[in-house]
Amino acid sequence: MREAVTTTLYFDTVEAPSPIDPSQVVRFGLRRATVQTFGRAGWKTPVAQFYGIVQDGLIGAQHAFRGLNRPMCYEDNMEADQTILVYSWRPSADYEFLGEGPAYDLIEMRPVQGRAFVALVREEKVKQENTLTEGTIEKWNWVGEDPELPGAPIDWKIRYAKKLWSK
Amino acid sequence: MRTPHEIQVSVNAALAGETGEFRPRALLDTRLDCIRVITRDCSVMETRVNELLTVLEANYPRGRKCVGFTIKGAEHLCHKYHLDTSAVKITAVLDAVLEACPGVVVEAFVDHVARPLVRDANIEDIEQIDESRFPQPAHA
Repeated sequence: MREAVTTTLYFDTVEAPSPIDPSQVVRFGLRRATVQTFGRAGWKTPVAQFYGIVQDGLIGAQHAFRGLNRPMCYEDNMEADQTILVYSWRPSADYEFLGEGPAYDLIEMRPVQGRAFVALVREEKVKQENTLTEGTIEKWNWVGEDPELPGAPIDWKIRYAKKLWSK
Repeated sequence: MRTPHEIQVSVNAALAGETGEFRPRALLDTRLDCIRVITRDCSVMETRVNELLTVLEANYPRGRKCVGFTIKGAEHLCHKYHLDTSAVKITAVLDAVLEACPGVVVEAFVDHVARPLVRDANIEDIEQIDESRFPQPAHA
């Protein structure tokens, strides 16, 4: 984990394997708006998971997929589902806030068996302050793991349009 | 690898000035075109019910295991059933889900999981994130 590298749009940018060639590295950004939305909602656990799981874990993703098999409309694009990349892997730790008020503390958990972690990225090239990013990290969470493809989401064949690669 | 305490310090710094008190809520996520209902700030596993519904289960349950759900394709669904996304109630969207996906599985999910969850958490309105407040990407 490291301190966030910020730009005007992005709260942080992180390295990830290229969706085209996993031996190549690209950068994706996490929007300030996403972090602010979590903050205003008092929803801190996903932010901790970003720092503890996504920030340094995305580069080690085991699988990449393209396209969500579900309706999605974004900025008049009725096929926005096809612009989403999904990276998945099996992290070694999980994080969750517990308690109330000043004793609202983060604890590290051993991930539940049979879970994989996914990060959803919208493909969009953005150049800001001399940093070129190839996409925006929109969301991350745990899913059930495919017993036949470790580190991949269960039902990935029906969830996603295409598997891009596995490492 | 940093400790949970170090991560917590970074989280608090990242959210400085932005941290509200957590309360159960329904949020319209326009970028992923979905409505997220969440009743606990915890680590969740998303389980797909069908192409419109995902249930959020606490990974380390303390009490109720189901802590939320996601309705996907919200814009499309609201348009189809003439619902105004800026003013619609979550119960009306659940009615639309039932119409869009009739069947025993969806009916069981809506009536026995989703409706009790929003009722017990007193969630009625769907909050919309005002994207215009934030910088927008200038695509390269």
